[in-house]
Amino acid sequence: MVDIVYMKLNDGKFFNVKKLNEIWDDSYFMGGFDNIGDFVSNEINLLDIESGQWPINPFVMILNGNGPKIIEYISTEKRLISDLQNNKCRVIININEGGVNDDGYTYYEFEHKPIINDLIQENKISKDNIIWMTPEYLIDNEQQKDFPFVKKFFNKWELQLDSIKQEYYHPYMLDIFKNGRNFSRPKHFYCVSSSPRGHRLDLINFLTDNDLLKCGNATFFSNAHGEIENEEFQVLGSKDLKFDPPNSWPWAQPNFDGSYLPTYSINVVQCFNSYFHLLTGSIFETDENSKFPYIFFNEKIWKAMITLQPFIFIGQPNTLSMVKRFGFKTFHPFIDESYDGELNNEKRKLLIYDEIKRLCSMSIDDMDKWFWGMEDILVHNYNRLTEYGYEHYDEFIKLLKENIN
Amino acid sequence: MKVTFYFNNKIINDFNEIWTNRLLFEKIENLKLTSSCDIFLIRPSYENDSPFEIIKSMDKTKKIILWYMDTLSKEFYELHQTKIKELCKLEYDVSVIIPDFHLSGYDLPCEVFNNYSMADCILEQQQVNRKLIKYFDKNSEKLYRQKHFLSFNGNIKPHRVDLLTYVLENGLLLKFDISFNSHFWNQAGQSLHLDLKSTSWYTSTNLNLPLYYNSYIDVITMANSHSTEDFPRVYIDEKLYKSFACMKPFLIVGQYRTLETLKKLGFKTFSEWIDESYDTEVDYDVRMTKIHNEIKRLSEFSIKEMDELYFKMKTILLHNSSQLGIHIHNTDKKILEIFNG
Repeated sequence: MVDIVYMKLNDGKFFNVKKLNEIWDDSYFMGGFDNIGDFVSNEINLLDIESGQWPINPFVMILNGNGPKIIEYISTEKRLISDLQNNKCRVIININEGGVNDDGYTYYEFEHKPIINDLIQENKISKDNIIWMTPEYLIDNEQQKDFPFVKKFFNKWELQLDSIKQEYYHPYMLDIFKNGRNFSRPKHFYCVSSSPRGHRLDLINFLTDNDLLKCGNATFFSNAHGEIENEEFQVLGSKDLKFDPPNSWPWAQPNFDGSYLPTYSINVVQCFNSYFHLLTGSIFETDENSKFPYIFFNEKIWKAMITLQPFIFIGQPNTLSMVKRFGFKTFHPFIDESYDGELNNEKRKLLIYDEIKRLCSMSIDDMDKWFWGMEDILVHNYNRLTEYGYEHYDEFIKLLKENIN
Repeated sequence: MKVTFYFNNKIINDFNEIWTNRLLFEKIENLKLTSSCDIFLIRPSYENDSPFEIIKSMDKTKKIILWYMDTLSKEFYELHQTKIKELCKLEYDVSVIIPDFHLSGYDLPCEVFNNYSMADCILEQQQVNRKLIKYFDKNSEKLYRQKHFLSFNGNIKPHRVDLLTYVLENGLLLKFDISFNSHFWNQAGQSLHLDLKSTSWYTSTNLNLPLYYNSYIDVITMANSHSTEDFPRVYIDEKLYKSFACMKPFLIVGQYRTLETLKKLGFKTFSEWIDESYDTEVDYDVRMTKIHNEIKRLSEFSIKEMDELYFKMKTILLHNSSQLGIHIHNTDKKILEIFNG
């Protein structure tokens, strides 16, 4: 058994999760994977620390919240710091929003690292006892040697999306995909860019200037809530989410105006009426001289895989090479993916735009042949989503078990 | 006793070449009959087909069924009507099965029954895709659709030209998923392609669910638009049955009294929300104007309003979806009684 204290942030305060069925949330534990399900049922001893009893045996604490609150909690919980110093405890940190702030930067890289570094160093906590486990993938593990904590990659969006796929989308997507062989699709691309960011603004300008919007179904800045004044940049297509996603997507959180972010939803109709997905990542701009190059994985790539669509990824360089490292396949030579290796932001953007232009210049008939040429890749990725989820959880379970030794 | 099927002057032993009514034919084949029966499957476009010559060489004790597989033009019908009357005069035991509904009667001295054109194929697709239709239907509760209307116009026909002209002249193209002349791919920009491939085999019975669920109302341009007060007739085929299967409300660009006929067959229409007075208008131009006006009115609805309208019609859509199977069952039952009687 692994003794675990699970602390979750709610209304600005951490509370202690005491029941195993409450462990299933948007942090590390997602439904649909037997390995993590069996592990939670049979090998986790969930500890209650709010009754006044502090753990006697070595334990793992999971802190699920936002960066400042997590740091504040560790700093103020003296028994925890003591146990960390004495190697009786290890803390696994999850940033529940997935790590990207409104400006498109990760909390990990730009905001909290100096503070958490100080906390660890001042208290002489062993590096191995603080594990920052978030959806940022450090491209080179050598970078970690200077960190005062362990940085682990946790592909939470992949797991969440596959969990949703298993519950809501499988096997329907495969069936719709196969039926689709009888028909061509009316549009070249589909693009959802709900939150305004610089590279998305550039993209819509590019599509408009080159008269390419007619080739796609596109939604831009539907989450801007009036922040974008120019109507041209509001909703092209329409805001497609209707109402009440929580009934279908239990993790969906409402915006301040009561609407819902389309993070967990997939507009299946739009996907299957177009051939490829233009994915705009949360982050595009990358400092090519950065000491800590990383890739942030959000939900978008996995959504395209669920609906069996090829994609162009308008985001951080090397994302595709990482996706391949996870056992997925990308679309070379059907799509010129040389953009993925281009660190210079402007050059990368131009390579991507050239490829969009090339694909949109194809006739629908040619596009259809092009699309079905990728059938094996698309089906492989669809199936790989679940396989990968299991593998990822095997590693996570191993990590939790290692802590008791 | 045995049933013999003829198609294009030949006896056929299987139904591989037949595109509709196949399941019914198989049921008829398996009937235990007290006397033999010859069924002539007639496709009006087969010019060399001469069933009457074959029949006249036959023994009059046989039951003869003339089974029309497609809509008949007035001229074709009148020609066959004369020949059928001759057969009856010669005391052949003839029955006629025809997909056209002649609303003032058939003026034939024999029994006439209506069959359906491709409703069975659509029902089959509906059953095969049952889970996916349910999925799209459920999905539709969460997401808005992109277009107001869907309209397929594979072959060029005058009423289709009129519809497209109206759509283009009134700037309504963006409100539609619409095809035109799409059975004939060409590079001269004379086609609007929606979902037909130029290179692969297409059957009109397949349901393109993502496309059907991208819009709210089907504007169905039927095979025929011509019908007159003195010879009123209605022909219904798969275009309409697909809308039932995919739970879509519709406007009919076709023969007058089509909605009236549908209601007689147990289907329901949308007069509470859509002005369906076009259905009683015999004059083609007036009828088209009424339909165009209704398209114009609905096109001014926001997507949210279209969505609300759609869900108000849901009970009728569900009814029509299940009525498709009932309609086929009822039709089959009546036809099978010819043999049991």
